[in-house]
Amino acid sequence: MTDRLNKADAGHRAPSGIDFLLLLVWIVSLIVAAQLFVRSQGLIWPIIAAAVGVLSLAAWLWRLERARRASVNLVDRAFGSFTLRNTLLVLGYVLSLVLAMSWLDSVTPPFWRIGLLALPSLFLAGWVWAFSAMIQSSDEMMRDLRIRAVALSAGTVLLLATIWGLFAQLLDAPDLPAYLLLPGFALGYGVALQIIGGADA
Amino acid sequence: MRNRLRELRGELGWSQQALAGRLDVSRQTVNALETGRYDPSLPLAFKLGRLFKLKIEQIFDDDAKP
Repeated sequence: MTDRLNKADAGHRAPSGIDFLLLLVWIVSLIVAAQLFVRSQGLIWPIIAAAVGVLSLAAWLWRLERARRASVNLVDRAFGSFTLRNTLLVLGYVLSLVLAMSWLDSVTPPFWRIGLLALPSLFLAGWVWAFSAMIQSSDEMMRDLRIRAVALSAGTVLLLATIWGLFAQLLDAPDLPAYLLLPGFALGYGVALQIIGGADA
Repeated sequence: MRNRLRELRGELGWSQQALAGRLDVSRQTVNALETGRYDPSLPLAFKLGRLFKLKIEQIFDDDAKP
C-alpha cells in the first residue's frame, strides 16, 4: 500500500541513468574539447571532443524536453522549462566568456571590445530572468522555500562582499573580483535551499 | 496541523504525483502537506476540499480547543 501511494504515475518520468550518463558525457567532453583547444595540439581532437559534447548535449536536451512535454503537471513543466533555459544560458555565458577572453586583446575598436564583454553579460541577465520566472511559476510551498533561500544566499553574499570591501579599503587586501558575485549567489542559493528545504528541496 | 490527506488519497488509489497534478502543485508539496511540514494557503485548502468533496475542517484538524 505504501509503495503504491508513493509511486509516480505513468507519464511522469524521473531522470534515468541514461539522462545522468548523457549529462556527464556532454560536460566532460566539452571541458576536454576546451582544454585541447587551449593547448593548441591540433584541431582534430578538439573537434571530435566538441562533436561528442554537442551530440550528447542535444540528446540530453531532447530527452529533457520530451519529459517536460509528457508531464501534465504545470509546475513540473515550468521547472522543466527552467532546466532547459538554465543549461542553454549557462552554456552561452561560458562560451561567450571564453570567446571574450580569447579575443579581447586582439580587438582594438572600443565598440567591438564593449560588444565582446556585453555578450556574456546578456546571458547573465537572461539567467536572472529565467531564475525569476522559475520562482514565479513555482507552487506556493516551493516559492516560499525558494524565496527564503534567495534571501539567505543574497544576504550572505552581500555581507561577505561588504566585509571583503572593508578589508580591501582599510587593510589593502586584494580587490573583490566582483564578477564572482552572481555565481557565488547561485552557489549559495543551492546550499541554502538544501539547508532550508531538506528533502522537500 | 494534522490532516487526512494521505488517507483520502489512498481511498482513491492516487499516487502523490497524481494528486499533485490535480492540484497543480509539485509532488514535494503534496508530501510536505501529508507529513504536516507545510500548512496550505486558504485557496489550496479550498481546492483540496473541492477535490475530495469535503469541508476543509473534515480534512484538516488544527488541534485548537474551542
